[in-house]
Amino acid sequence: MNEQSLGFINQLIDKTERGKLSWSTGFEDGQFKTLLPDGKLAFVVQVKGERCRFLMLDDRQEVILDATVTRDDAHLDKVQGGIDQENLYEAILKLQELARSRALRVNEKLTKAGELLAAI
Amino acid sequence: MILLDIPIPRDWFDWTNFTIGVSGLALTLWAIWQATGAKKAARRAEQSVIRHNAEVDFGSLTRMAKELHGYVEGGMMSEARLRTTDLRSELALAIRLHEAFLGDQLNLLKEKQLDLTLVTDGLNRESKDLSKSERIRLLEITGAIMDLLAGQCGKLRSSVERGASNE
Repeated sequence: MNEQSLGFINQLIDKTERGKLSWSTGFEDGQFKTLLPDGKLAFVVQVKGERCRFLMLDDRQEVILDATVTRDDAHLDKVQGGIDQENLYEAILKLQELARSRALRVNEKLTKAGELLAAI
Repeated sequence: MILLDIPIPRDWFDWTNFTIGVSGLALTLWAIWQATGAKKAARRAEQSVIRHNAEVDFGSLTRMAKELHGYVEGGMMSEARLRTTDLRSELALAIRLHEAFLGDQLNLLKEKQLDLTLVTDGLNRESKDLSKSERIRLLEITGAIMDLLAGQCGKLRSSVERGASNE
């Protein structure tokens, strides 16, 4: 399950970096969502406190994949020589940061803020 | 070539046969034309009934969404949680049943359906510990759902009325 989630997360990171996916804010803090055309699939990524979560839902909004990992899980996995949880944790963090940046239009707002401050 | 094959009427018997044949053909064509018209009218009536059902369903969804928005505004979170679950399942059913009439609104409705799924999930886990920003987002989400459903209901109603006036 984690391997599958990791595969989808990496694809989403790639598509988001290439500007092919648009993200919007979800309901909970740190939660972002994207819907594929015609609503065939939806992805949700969330980082809240130390908990990272990735969800994949089908066109009927049924949960197909639900991967949750905490910082402790990732750390414990690393100590025990595993890489699964740690990779998943890092990937969700990266995707969430990208999604946040796209959903809140962080770059545009930073540029505008720079311009506004320069104009004072 | 075809005309050459038709025998030339020579006496009153031939003329009667010819007249009956032509009248029969005309009657058949008229019956086909009438049947096609009736079939089209029946299809239009059926579409009108389905559209009317869609309008009724979306009217009921709009009322549910208004109720949910009221609960959220009043801070009645346990009621809001129950209403969200109801609205989510009813909206999923309405989308499945009336997909053909939803047009470009389908994607927006599916996005709102996803919002409801996330709200249901969030409220089921921590409805008492919502942060200030989560409360604000919840108000925005329920307000947006109410507006979208009311708009969809209005569209369906006007299309039903347009259909009725065309008939």
